[in-house]
Amino acid sequence: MKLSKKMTAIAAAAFATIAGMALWAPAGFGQAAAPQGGGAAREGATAPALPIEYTHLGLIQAGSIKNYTDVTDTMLTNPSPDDWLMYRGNYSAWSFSNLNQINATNVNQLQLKWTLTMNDGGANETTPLVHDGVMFLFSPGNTVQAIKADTGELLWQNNLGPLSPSLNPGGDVAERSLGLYEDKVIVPTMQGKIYALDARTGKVDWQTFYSDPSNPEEGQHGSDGGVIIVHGKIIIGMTNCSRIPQTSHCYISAYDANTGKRVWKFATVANKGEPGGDTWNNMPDDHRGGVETWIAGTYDPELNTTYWGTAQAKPWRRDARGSGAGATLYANSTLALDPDTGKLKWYYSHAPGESLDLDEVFERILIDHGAQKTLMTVGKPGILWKLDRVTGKYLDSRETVFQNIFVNIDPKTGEPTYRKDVIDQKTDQWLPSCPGPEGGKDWPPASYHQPDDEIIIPLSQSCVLMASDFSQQFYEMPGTEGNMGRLSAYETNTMKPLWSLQQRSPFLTGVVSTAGNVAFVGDFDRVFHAFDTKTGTQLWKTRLGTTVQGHIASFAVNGKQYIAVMSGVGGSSPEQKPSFILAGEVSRPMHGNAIYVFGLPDNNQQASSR
Amino acid sequence: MLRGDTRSGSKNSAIAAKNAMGRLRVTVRFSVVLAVGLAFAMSAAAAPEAYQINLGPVARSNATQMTAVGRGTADAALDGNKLSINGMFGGLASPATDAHLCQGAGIGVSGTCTNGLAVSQAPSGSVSGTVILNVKQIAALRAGQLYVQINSQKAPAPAGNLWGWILIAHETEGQDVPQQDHWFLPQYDMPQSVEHGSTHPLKTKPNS
Repeated sequence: MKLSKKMTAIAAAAFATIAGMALWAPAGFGQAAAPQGGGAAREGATAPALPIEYTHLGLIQAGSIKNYTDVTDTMLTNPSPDDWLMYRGNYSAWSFSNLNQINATNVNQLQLKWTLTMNDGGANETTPLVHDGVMFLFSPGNTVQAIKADTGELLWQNNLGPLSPSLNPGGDVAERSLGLYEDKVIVPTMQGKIYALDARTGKVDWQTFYSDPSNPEEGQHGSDGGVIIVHGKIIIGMTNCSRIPQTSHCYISAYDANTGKRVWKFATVANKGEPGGDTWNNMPDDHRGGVETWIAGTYDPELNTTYWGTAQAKPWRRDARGSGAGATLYANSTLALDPDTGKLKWYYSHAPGESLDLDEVFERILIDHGAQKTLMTVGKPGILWKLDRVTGKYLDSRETVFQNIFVNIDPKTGEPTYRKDVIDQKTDQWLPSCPGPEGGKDWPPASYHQPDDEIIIPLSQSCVLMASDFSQQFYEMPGTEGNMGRLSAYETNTMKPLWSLQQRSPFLTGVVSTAGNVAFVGDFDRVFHAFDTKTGTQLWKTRLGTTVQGHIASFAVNGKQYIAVMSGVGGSSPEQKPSFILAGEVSRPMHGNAIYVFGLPDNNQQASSR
Repeated sequence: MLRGDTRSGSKNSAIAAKNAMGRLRVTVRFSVVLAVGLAFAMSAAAAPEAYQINLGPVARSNATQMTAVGRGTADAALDGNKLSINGMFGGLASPATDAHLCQGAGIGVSGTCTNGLAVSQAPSGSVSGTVILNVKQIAALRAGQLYVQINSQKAPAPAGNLWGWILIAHETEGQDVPQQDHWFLPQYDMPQSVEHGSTHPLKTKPNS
């Protein structure tokens, strides 16, 4: 019943947008809902009221979740397969579920169990988190909901705000993951704040700035890449660090989960006089931009080390930046940090002096092969890197898509050599780049299918001509016959390629694989797929309301396994490039942020595996 | 153009090219490439080298997004120093005006257009020509630096309408079909790329 009302409300809001109406609420409206999170109802002229979901901040639906158990460090280290406690499922970013009730033989029987539309007005790339049968979901406008994970019943909703200025799609204001710790839901926002909500009631426990806009030492940065919580410390990265001059560089920082007090801060740009500060061609400190950490890191409890990727230096091209051939540390690197102090243990620069908007910022997947502890990651150039995560030493690499950026990769150090015209770039020169800023690989995370030591990577295939002022023109990647989407599997111990497939539309969700030997992934053209992890054969697919975008979660409630997936629009390069290249060919609704939850028919359930 | 039935097409790129717009999803296997490559190595020195071209829209901006459209395919063969190109194209937003053989610094890297090719003065039709290559051009061809560009009334030179790099004949399964092993296009002059793209046809060193 509650869902039905919400659907009606969202339909009304969508109508208002279509009709070009402004968002407003009559004076005094919504008195029953006490705003929380520092906001208030929007003021406006007298006019028919929109539902409070679209006009009011605060706890607009109160609730109290009984029998909710606190999320402990032990749980985070060894998550129950029934839960999906964090971004990418576990500390190692495996995006893998040990549940096997839904498997390669019955996945074709999947059916929709429930769906819930989410706020439009911003990009949807989020991760549904699940604990004790309760799902916590983030929507644009910093709305957080607690939902019964098996039925879709709304338990509480807090609109933290600020509300989206428009219900129009687009923008790159995404938040890829919440965090859970003890009795709190941790909510990072793009407005520089972290909130801690009471998981049982949704009430704000504390809030703090990780980037205070009133503090010139911190500037006004945002974070869209989720968090990782280690030893009661919320560790968060940062984006929007491209403004020049820049008095405040990007940093990774940690906060006490009980109080919100900052514990440490690590700046990702090396200034003059600091280690690595001589890698910026003597540029002034305030011209050293970028080096964002817009994807949350991973964590190895045994080594007590958290691993983060960094983005490229800004401005994007060397000639505009003025950094010459310098490595611009710690841009496009892997950083290994002590989670308790923020101290740098080691770094590895994947692409020194990067110049074509090709981030190496994405998930660091932690995989052991016997005694060897490795870290694997893929950046926008599409190179699958393998490092020793104890020392940071380069071990191996593989190209996963066609690339024409590098002409050599040193087999001992992994240092790439750029194409000559990239090195010699001139200000008036358009530089071709395959892959372009869409990646190769972008934010949708790969899955490590542990039973087969197999990494399954969502890849994209497009190219760009880039000007010094960052103007871009797009074209298809040679050798792909126009197929922008690619899914490839590798055995991680040997780096041996196992299988690949490609399709016209790119994949826009992360991959989640399960012990049932199924890999789930969604695409730009609204298709949600299930593939056989061993062969890449498609086992099942269905069409959702709009682009299948965001993160997937596998969980179980009362012994029944479910698969949750997001649909959404908006976002940056991975969504914008196919929107351009496939215009007139692939059409999708420009609204439709939503979550869909699938399961087997009720008469086909078996006990979930652990 | 590439969506829909991708499994029923021919597994021979040459046939697909002749069937042009309706059957552009060339679905053939790399294993055949290896066989062809080995055949090259064992055959007479004068055997022509086989190449293929997939023509797609050039790099586009907002201004040219809807004018530089279309698709095509072509076969190419190098016999001695004579490069022959024959292909089809369609779906242009305006009639084609001229076509050229062009050279950049690598696969996917645009450059300078020189030799003219014959092209139908229409939104769809054929593109063909024979060009005598010098030694440097032959080396450029084998390094993936040569490409074909078709210009049109609404998408004129220098940016053009369609382009496609002249790649050593290779085979893929096509859309939606899993394929074992490596099969992305390697960069022809990068050692690791050849290694990582384990089915790289240059391993067989076609005759010059």
